[in-house]
Amino acid sequence: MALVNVPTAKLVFTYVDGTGSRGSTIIHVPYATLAAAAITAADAIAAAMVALSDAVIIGYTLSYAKFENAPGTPDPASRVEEKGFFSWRTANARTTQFTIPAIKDSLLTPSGKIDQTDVLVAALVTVVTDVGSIFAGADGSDITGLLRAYQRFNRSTRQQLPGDR
Amino acid sequence: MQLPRLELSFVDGSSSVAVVRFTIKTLATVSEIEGAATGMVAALSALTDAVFFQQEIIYTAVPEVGEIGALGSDKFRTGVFIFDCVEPDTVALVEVPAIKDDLLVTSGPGTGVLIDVAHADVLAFVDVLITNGATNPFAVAIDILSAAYRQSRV
Repeated sequence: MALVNVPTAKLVFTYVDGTGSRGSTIIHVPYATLAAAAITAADAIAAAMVALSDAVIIGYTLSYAKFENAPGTPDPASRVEEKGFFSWRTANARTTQFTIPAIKDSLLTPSGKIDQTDVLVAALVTVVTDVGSIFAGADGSDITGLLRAYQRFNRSTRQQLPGDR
Repeated sequence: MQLPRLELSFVDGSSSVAVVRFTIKTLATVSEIEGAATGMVAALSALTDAVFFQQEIIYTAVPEVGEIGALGSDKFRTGVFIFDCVEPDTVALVEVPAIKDDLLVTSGPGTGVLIDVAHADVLAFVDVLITNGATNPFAVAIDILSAAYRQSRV
């Protein structure tokens, strides 16, 4: 079981035309290309492509993807709609959130709160907040502590409903 | 340039997928983010009955002001550029939406369809792709432009 990268990093340039419709151009660069070099390349490629198009480029993304080559088997009863909702304090006195899909029932109290004294939750808090951690709120502010955590359910999408219903 | 994002994907017992997204606080390198992702995946995997299967690191650039294309421009009028790559029998495809009409050849059987591969802007585009190491999806480097034409991509 190992994480393996796809052969390339992917640049996706987004255009908008005169009607407001969006289009895109995909350019690949080798996965080993440093992000800084790829961004420099993207700027140069964007400048060259703009000269070819009547639409304008309104941005681009550069993505590096890896896949587990032998993923484990999920619990048959697990459902991603059952979330563990984690809200965090940030250094600029705001909050940031993320959810963990298919949260383990063993972490929940009878009320649906997530037990913050559980060692597994404490380990997550350490990963998110420790000095040197690179995770941040959406505005880049440091995450300083766990504010609240509880079970929450998302509505199932059509794709998430049973195929044999 | 916005702050990078780390996206971790999990699959549950019904094969449904969910993505956990994190903002990275600086323009960290891919290897720095991958290093942090390892610890995060371990911590998350201990809390979920779903299984981790994919990670993606995303850098996003956006303009400082909103823009819109030229009046009458149409994203469906796509410029299709087909490249031969450096290995035999390998190709790469690049599509440019709303290709400019003045790049199309104006005489001969390809009038209005073929892209003028000798046009200065086309030459510059090809050169910048090759110079910057663009490849096909299998990481085979682009070598030369073999065909270019306009196509309607609806």
